[in-house]
Amino acid sequence: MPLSVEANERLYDALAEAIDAIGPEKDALFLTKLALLLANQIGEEAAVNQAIQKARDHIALERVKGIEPSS
Amino acid sequence: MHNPHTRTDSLYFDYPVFAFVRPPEMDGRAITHPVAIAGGGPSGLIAALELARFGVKCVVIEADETVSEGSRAACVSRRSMEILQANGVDQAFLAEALPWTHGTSYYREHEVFRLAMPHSDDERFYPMANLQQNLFEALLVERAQALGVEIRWRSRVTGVRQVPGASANTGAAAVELEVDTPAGSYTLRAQYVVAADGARSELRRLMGLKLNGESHEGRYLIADIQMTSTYPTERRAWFDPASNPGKTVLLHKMARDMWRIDYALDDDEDEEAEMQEARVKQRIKRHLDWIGETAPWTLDWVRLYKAHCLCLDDYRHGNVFFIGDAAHLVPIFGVRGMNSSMADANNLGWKLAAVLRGAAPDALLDSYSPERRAATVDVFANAAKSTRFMSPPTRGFALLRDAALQLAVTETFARQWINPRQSAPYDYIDSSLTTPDEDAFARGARPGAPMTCVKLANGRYLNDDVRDGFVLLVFGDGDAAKEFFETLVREDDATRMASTQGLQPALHIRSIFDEAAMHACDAVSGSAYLVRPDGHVCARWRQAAEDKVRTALERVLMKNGGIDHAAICRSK
Repeated sequence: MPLSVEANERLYDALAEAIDAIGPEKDALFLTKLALLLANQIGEEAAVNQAIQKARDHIALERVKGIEPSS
Repeated sequence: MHNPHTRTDSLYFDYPVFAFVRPPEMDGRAITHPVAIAGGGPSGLIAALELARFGVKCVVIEADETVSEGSRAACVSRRSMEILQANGVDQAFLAEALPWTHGTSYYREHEVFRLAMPHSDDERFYPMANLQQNLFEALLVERAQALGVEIRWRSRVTGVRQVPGASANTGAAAVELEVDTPAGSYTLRAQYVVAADGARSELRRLMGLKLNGESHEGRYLIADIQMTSTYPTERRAWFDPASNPGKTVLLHKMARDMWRIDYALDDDEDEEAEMQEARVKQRIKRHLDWIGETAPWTLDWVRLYKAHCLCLDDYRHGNVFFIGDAAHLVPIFGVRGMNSSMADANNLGWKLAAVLRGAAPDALLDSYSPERRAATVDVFANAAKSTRFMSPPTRGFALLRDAALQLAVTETFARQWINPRQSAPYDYIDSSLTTPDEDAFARGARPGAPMTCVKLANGRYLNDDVRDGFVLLVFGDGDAAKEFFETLVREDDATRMASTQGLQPALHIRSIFDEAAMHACDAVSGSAYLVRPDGHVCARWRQAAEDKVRTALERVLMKNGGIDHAAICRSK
């Protein structure tokens, strides 16, 4: 079930506020723990691997021009 | 003595210069004006027009001798167009304004969001239309003067005093303003004062009132350039463009080949240095070069802008009402500043008219602040989100924003975060004037919302004629409406109507027998919508009955003893 627009907006704020509350020294650790918790909830290795790959590709976006939209 | 100066070096607009005219008060005449409006900007002038259309004379006190400088608030929403229509300026506005429906947001060179605002043949007006504020104000001045509104130019308010029981004609409370002019100062007396004197409101300061809320991170430069480009009218936003790395740029087309470019400054950039003409031109050129815009251009006007979410705790203080920027400062993103200011004027105008013309008690005016302050709070919630996206205030919000923008290049789900949340009208659902639904409706404007717009078979639109008083739209063939004429328009009302010609707001009963309208409003024969003079629905019924309409009217006019003073008239 995709999240509603309203839910996505609330989660966006909640995540930003959590990162700010934790601070720059520990936020990478926090986000990694969050990723592991969400992976555990998804419970599908392939789906999680696909998300890891996608996130890596988007890190590359910071340097490489021209990722073509998929839709 | 107050002596303003006028800027006249615009590329596209000859600033009119209005003369100071010696007011009768300075020659010893004692006058109590029904309403004095401090400030001749969009909110003040719309308030003047609203009062004029309900037959109330007012005087506008304006410190300047011309209209506002530069493009400033250049984007008018559909809801505001309806307000302009009610005040007879929509056609003059649209003669020059550029309507639009779409926008594009880019992350660097990637398109990451396509804005498509709802629009259809059932809408009389486009969702947005761009016209520079100076051109807009000039239209409003022309209309106000045509309606006999007295605008006192070069007159600055320097003092305010609430005087209980001082009003010459009614004995009611009044307000005295000290007004400074090129010929010296005088005291102006009015029953009610509308403070529409802008972001740096002098009345607010004189009354010792404070704006509360928060100011946001981020400074933006707004520049108007003249450029003949064939690019269509739409909103373009760039995040992290090569022309302004890590920051934003916005571009809007306006009338007379003028374009408006907004760009965010870096935290370490010096405001004064950035405002220098050569520097502004360099930055604009960098962006236009980067997007491939080759047309020649000329710089016209530059201003620095910061985002605030600040408002007064109460918009009514005694007989002084605060509207527009005098009451609230709203971030620019989502075009809510002037549009919410116009809604303030639209809300307050008919209420002042109803009270001054004896159709409602003074208590009706107490509803202005809760209705419009609730709208401000709603505006803040949306505008603050837009501002946080444009200029993330913290590391957390910056990370989320960048992650959303980068993911949006390929992931559709991430695009929703980039939506610029354009201004939407506020529904007065929690207002004490609004009668909540008793019946279930699948469609149509809910009580508190602006009346539904739908194109009728006769080529007109359903909400074309809902703002000239209270309007009861009765659905079905003429027989359904006839009953209401017979029961609501009693003989004594009809007699009174003749003797109080022009007493507004009146109740008009209109029969709507149109398939599309009935569908859009989920109406059957005998259903009815009761609409306020500002175009907002205050009650609706699947099967209307005289007593229900009467109760709803009593509620909205705050008349416990019945609505006998509300003139009721049959409409054409």
